[in-house]
Amino acid sequence: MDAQALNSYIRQEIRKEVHSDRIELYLPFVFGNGTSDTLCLVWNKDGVLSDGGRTFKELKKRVGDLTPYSENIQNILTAHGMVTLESGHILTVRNFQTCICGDDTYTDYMAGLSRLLRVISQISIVDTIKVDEYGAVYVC
Amino acid sequence: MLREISKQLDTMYSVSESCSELCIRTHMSLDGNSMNFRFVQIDDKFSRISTTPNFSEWMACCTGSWKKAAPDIEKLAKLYGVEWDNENGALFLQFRRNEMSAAQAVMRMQQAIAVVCQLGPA
Repeated sequence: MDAQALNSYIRQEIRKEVHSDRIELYLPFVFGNGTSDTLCLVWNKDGVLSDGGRTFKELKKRVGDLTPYSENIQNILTAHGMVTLESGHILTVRNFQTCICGDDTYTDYMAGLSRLLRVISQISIVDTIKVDEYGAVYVC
Repeated sequence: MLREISKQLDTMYSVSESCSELCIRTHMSLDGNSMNFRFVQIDDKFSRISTTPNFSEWMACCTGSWKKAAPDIEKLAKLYGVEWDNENGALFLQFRRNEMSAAQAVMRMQQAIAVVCQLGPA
């Protein structure tokens, strides 16, 4: 296998769909039960990125009542700043970092995406970890 | 705005070849250092993806001792089918190509890193 072929295989499944009013990003994701499923993240026309509520939907499906994990979830969100919880169940990134590169200034959407994926990954397994107020993770 | 996002998404992953190894560059970074993976085709059935030395440095820093933290690292990584190489301080995933795609393997590694990289001191 060469670099081009591997690149092509990765992009077949981690792919974007561009529409006039949004971009959808499809990723093979593990929601805490060990099996891969497709996660769709969406940027709307205002550049707001969200998971559409999928993370909490899958978590509730798996563990039921989320009340015991509220503090952990809040600590994960607080530690990661950029990611917020809207309508009680939708993980969202509204404010992306502005980066300066030489004379150019640009908005770093990939950093925001990385941060969201990190939060989704941690929240998806919140029943197996303890997260302190600084965001440090400990295994239950 | 969507055009810029689309353009940046094209840079999410890229693969390059160096010293007969394939390197997958990802959009993920820890403390400004890009998290890349090595990809090796072991034989006609199996492939292996592993983290690079900058991840080992990160783990040494955040846990104080990755060898001491090994049981916790292994337990968390296992959730994604990922293993821990305690000698080299690396996460790795060995997979059969007809059972798991390269994309699935890359995402599992990223998820494992997303959790393990936040471990507190051992």
